[in-house]
Amino acid sequence: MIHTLEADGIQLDFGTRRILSDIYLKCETGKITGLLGRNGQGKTCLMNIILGSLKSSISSVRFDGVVTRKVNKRPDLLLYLPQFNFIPKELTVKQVLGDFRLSTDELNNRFPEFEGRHDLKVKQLSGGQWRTLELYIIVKASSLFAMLDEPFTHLNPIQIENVKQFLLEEKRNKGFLITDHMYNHLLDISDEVYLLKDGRTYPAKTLEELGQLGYVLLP
Amino acid sequence: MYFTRTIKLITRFYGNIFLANFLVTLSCIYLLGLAGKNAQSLVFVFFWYKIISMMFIFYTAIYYKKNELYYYQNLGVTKLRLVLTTSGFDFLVWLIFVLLQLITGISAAVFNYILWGVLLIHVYAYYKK
Repeated sequence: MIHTLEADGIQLDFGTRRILSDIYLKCETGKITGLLGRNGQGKTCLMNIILGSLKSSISSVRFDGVVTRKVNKRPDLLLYLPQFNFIPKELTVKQVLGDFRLSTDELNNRFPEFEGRHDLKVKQLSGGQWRTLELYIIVKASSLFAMLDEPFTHLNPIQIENVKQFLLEEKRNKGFLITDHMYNHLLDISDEVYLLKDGRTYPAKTLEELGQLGYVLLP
Repeated sequence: MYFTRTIKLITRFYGNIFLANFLVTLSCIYLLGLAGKNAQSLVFVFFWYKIISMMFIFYTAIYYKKNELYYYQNLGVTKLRLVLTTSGFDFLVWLIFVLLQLITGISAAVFNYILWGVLLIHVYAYYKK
């Protein structure tokens, strides 16, 4: 079944400064939606508003057409990968997988680098493995959608290619909303891309379109 | 299953702040024991001592563990639920100990030994971890 996540009519002000004013984005099961934007344009704020952990004066977040508030209480609808490490560092890999009801064998099959490392604490993993584990649990755990904030941070080029392949495989199970500054990787895997600029979202898919909108320098 | 997992997560979070809160509770009981016959008139002083120290401990825990709160949130346990359940349980522990102290009038020295015991066990557990 195809599920939809839509966010629009969002308005966010910090004092007299308007951060978000004219937003529309749509995410669907089976699709990866990319969100690009320069630093400070409000990408993380937008994700937090969708999640319900940041209040905005006006907002409409709909799952399958139904307005839903406080999505942060509904992990069955939406899971969130923040841009920083969030797994408690004292937990072992096995404990983390157990909490999210995921099997160690599946992790080994998808990311063989974790073989024999299930009893290690998260803080004993490398930065790339730590991030990969976080990404893995958010992508694999049961939910309709997942929002990934800078998923490629801390990953080396080989890990990035692995993760891209992993996301392409998993998009048949849920919809993804991804933001990252590594726009080439995001363009590679995204079905739809929005550029967040001056508080508004602009649909864009190609480098040329991003260049015309002033996000990248065109040769 | 969901309930069991929630309890496990809340217990895990509480484990991080248990020592600080329990030391405050035991110090209240110890001081009540020292007060002897005047203990009942001092309960409200210790009530506010416990509330203020709890607020300080929880604020510090939330501040230093704010990134980890997303872990609990992704498992369906929000920050509010974590704080309300753990602070409620902690206050209940304090209340039970205070009532026990007022009813039985156990010597302050006994609680002194318990306090040291808890402290040593926690330090041992911390280094073993």
